[in-house]
Amino acid sequence: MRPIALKLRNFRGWREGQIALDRPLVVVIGKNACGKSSTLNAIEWCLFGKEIEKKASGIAERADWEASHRGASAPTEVALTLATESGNATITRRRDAEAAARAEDELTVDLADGRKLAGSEAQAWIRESRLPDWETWRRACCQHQEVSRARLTDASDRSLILSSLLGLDDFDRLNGVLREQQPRKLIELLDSELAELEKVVLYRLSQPSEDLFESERRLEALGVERARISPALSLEIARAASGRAQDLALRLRVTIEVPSFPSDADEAAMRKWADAWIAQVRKESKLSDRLSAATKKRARIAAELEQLEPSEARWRESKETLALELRERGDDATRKRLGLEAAKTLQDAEQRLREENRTLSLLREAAGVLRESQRFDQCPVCTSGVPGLLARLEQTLEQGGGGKIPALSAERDQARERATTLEAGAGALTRLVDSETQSRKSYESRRENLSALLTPGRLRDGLDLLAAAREEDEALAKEISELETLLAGLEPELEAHRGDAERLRELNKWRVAARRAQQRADLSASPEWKAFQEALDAAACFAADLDVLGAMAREAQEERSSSREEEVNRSLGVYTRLIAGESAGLDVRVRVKRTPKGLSYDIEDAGGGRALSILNQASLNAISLALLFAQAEERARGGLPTWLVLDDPEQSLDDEHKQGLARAIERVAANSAVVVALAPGKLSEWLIARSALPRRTIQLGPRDAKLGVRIESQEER
Amino acid sequence: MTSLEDLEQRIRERGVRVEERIALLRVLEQTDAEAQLAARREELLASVRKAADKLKGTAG
Repeated sequence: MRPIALKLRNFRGWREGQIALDRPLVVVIGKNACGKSSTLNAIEWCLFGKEIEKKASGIAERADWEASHRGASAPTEVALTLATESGNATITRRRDAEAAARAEDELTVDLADGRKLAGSEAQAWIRESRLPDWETWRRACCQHQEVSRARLTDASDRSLILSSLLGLDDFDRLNGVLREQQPRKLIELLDSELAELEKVVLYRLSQPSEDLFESERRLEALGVERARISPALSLEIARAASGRAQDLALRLRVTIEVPSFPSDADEAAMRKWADAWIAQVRKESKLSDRLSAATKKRARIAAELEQLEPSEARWRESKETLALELRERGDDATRKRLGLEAAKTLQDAEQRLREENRTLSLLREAAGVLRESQRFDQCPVCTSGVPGLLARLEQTLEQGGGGKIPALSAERDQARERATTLEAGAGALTRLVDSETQSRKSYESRRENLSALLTPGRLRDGLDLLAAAREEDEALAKEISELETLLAGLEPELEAHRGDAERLRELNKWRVAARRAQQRADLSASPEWKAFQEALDAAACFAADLDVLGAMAREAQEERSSSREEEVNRSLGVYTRLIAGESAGLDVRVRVKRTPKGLSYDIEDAGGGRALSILNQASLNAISLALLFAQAEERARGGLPTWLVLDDPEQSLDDEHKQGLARAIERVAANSAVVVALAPGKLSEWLIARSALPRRTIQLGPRDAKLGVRIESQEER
Repeated sequence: MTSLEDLEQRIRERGVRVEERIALLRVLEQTDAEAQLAARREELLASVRKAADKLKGTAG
């Protein structure tokens, strides 16, 4: 694919014009500001649009670059016609004068078959035609007026240029993209997802099997043979337990409803009944309570019987004592009468004694008066005389004090003693009566207590209390014996039932574990498992594909670099020697280094040292151009569309270098279209005069203020 | 031979997941290959996580 023609309208310095590019070498000659660079820029703008108009393009002078002709009101339009295998195709880029900065250009491609592609279709055609993209163009197809040194001294740019020269730039780009995806990291992420899943799901999945095994082991410990373990066993156990429960209820004479379990449909009801049965039996039968009550009652009867006879004996004894007392000492009325009589006797005796004492006292007083008056025969009261009165008084006093008073005192004491004795006898009788009453009441109370302990009807006619009590005791002894027998028989029954209940519970756990184990088996074939496996496989395959592609790209890149390194260095050497001359001794080589991250590229001198840092401007320019030409030659050799656009490439070169450059251009143009813009001088002269290649020379005249860039003359050969 | 043609040839020679890898290669040709692959990567990871969550739910 080669350029044929370029049509320009309102592009920078151009108002309207057309240039034929139908020769391998097109030389645009003009003095400064004639529009040479604008002409070359038009080709790039047509192909790449905005890519070239910003600082990030890598070309410093393109910052704030304006494509449109200053002052033009009509659209800017550049059409580049290319010769393709299927005929000529024209790429046209158009932008309205008032278009906003972010507005897309209008891009169309007119094909030889009459089709007109626009927008993304046009972009796709350009890509499919394998025309260079902007990055490739920038590195491999153009030499602009910016200083060449900058392209070589910037390590990143230099690496890209060398990669392009070696034809490895695509691999670098692929490797970059693939590395960016971090396929190994993705695999690690998937591994961690799987590990997480294993931790959570597989653990949960494995748990049911362990639970199942453990449950079977426990059932074996509960006496269930492993071979018998099945869901139906629950029904069998529940029915057996139900039968035994019914028998037990009959024996205990209690009314408890026992379910019959016709099927295993309600396994939960079986477990519920089995768990509740023991408490229910205990509650309804009340065996322990009954035994306890009978035992206590029997003990109380025994205690009452034990106390009843002594109590009766005590009562009879007090009764007899009282009777004897009454017989011996009379009854209460007699005792009262005798007591009153004794009191009266005592009272009389005391009265008589008091009177005797008063009499004696009066006599003593009278005797005293007589003695004081010395009138021993005169009555102290009536003054009548009584002979021997004092002597008679004294005799009387002596007789009274010496005989009568003691007799009266003795009489009184005797009466008092009798009264006291009678009084004491009355107290003793009262006590005997009280004692008899108390012992009788006690005896009667015990009889009542004992009667109350007897079963109603036990104390029937003709049966005394003691006999009835003994009969009751015997009945209780019999009941206690029966209850003890029942209780002794109940525990094994309940123990057996407890075992059944436990087996039912364990069987339920076994059923749950078995169901979960079954679910696990089902899960492996479940849509969720399948979906997960598919998702995992898809992601793993994607990561593996990325990884494999990366490995293949690196492998292919290394193989290609091995085969290309010498070839490229040969081309580079040829062009370097052509431009700089044999005598310059400029011997540089591209060196490919293999690093863990991939390949890296640099330029070294023949001795393996860093060549660029010590070179002068002319040498750098020479190497820059040699690299460019070598790339063009390599691209052409690879069958890729190749052009070279050279804008004033002779900077810093002396005449000898210019002559060499002319030879190099002639050589590269043999395989690649070259458009070169030059100021009039030695290089243009040599190219025009000495090149044997078909060429077109376009002479630009001074720019016209109204018409813009002006073609002064054209020559083709 | 371009790099992509070279890789395509190698993929075909190996004969493993040929169609899938060539499809990936086609993506690599695109200018927004990185964005496309990153989106695909996230989509696949998300589907794995979603399927794993669903599976955990079923197993739990």
